[in-house]
Amino acid sequence: MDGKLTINVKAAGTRVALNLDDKVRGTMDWSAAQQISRELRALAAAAVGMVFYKFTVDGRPVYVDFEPGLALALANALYRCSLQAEEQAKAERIALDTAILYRAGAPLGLSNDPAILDEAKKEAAWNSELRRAMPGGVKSAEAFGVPAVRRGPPPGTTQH
Amino acid sequence: MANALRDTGREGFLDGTIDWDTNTIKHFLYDEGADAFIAGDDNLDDILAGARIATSGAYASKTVTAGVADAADVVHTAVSGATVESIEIYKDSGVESTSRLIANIDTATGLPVTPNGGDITVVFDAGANRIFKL
Repeated sequence: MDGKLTINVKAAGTRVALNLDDKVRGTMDWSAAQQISRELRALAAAAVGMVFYKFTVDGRPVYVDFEPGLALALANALYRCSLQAEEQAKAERIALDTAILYRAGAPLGLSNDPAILDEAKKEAAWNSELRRAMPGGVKSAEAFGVPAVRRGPPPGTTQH
Repeated sequence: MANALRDTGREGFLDGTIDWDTNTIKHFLYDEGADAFIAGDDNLDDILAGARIATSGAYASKTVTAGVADAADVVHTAVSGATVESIEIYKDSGVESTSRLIANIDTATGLPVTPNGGDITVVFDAGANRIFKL
């Protein structure tokens, strides 16, 4: 395959869609995308000439050769999209972690996804189980008066 | 430590197990040297009898207005024994193993106090928080 290879990578929900000139076309989960990204980077870094990589499409191997620069670009694109897909796959966990920060008074979002942040706000406001994850729990706001303890005189003595 | 509700106290108020103004509420003068304060203690039987220097009668004139618990001052007569470090408030069910601990007060004017055989009076705060405010 020459340098005119058209690469199209994008995150699609919790998966990553890849299209290499319709020769390799399909989706993979985010962890597979990260694995391919790592392998392509390693191959690109070690390559003297072209980088050969075996994709598995519908159970059959498809061999693609890249220029090292293109392999690195594909690796980076796969990694970037895999992070977006991973964020969606772990949206519930991220929302809960963000909710813990909100509940602790730290308005820091762990995602840029408005839907995840909205869910985090709801969890922070309503999740009664969240206190279990708070360091030291949620402090109670009870208030105490300060009583006085007065010791009287011992028996047999007269108080003046 | 500081004055604080026990977890069992909070739970009791929320689940209705403790009704401040209708249940029998008492306290005892707590010798923490004989039985150290443990936050996880939940019922009266968790505190050694020897650490309870004197036990009050049932609180009188209890009020709950605005979530503020109050009661009449308590006089312990002719108290002797070891030094008292705190006051432990509990609900007396008549059975030690089900008498829930409610609150521990270790910050009070006059604490710690060493009994001398005379009376010891516990005067509850007349301020906004009285004994405690939920």
